[in-house]
Amino acid sequence: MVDIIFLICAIFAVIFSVLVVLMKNPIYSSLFLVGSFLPIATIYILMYAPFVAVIQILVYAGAILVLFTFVIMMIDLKEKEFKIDKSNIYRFLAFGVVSIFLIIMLSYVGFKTFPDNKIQVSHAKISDYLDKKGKTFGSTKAVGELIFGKPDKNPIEANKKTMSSMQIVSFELASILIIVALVGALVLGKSRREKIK
Amino acid sequence: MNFFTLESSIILGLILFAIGAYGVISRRNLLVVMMSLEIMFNAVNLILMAFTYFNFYEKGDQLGHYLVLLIITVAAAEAAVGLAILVTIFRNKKKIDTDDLSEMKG
Repeated sequence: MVDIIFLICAIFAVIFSVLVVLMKNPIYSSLFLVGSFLPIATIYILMYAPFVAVIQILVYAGAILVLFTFVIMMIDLKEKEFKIDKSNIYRFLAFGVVSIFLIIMLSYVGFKTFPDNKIQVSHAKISDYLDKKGKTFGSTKAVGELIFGKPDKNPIEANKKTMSSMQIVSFELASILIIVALVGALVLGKSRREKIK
Repeated sequence: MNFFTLESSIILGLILFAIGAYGVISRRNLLVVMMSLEIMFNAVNLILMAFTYFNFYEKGDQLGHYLVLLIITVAAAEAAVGLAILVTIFRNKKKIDTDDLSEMKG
């Protein structure tokens, strides 16, 4: 059952991604981009990561796609500028480069990395293990404990544990990154012609 | 048949990454180039999640979930700034063709 769901999701993700790249009109590309994000969120759910799946749908299919659609509506391109594309020789070159990359990486995956098949654990085995030991794997609680440390009875100990965890640093750095990106987008998007009084 | 393995997840991620790279190289519309970048981010996220999930059985650690959340944050910030730059380019040049953006070349 899981295998069939994974196969369907993979096929849909690949088809929609190809359509994103091949469509002439960017509005269709953004539509198919949603179609390629949703199967990947489903695969995250199969991988016992419901929190990441929800964040994927919220941020990618919600926020970023709305941003893209707003920009497409805002910049109001002419019809002939939608149709522009590289000449055939460039497309052929790009296809060649990507094919070489794909062949090298796939041969690496297929023949070199996992010869002893130790890593091919069956799905049933994993779900048994998760049922026994890790019911909260991938949940909001687990990810929160990963970032902020486990809640403790003794507040001083808990504080020490939180401070010593490395994830809290990158968490705060991500918030700084978002603020910097917000200010940068505002400054770039501001019109320079009119003076603000 | 057993499709849901680490190898098949990595192969799916590699195919998506290659499709995104093809879009970045071959398209001239800056909007579609940025959408292809998002596809590449997604492929990397998928491979990270696959490694986290299929190695949890042995290692019992789920740092990859947090790493994926961080990458999604960076991707959102990148999209915001990139689209602001795109709007500025369109305001100045009235087109978003990557072949016309050649001022820096000299």
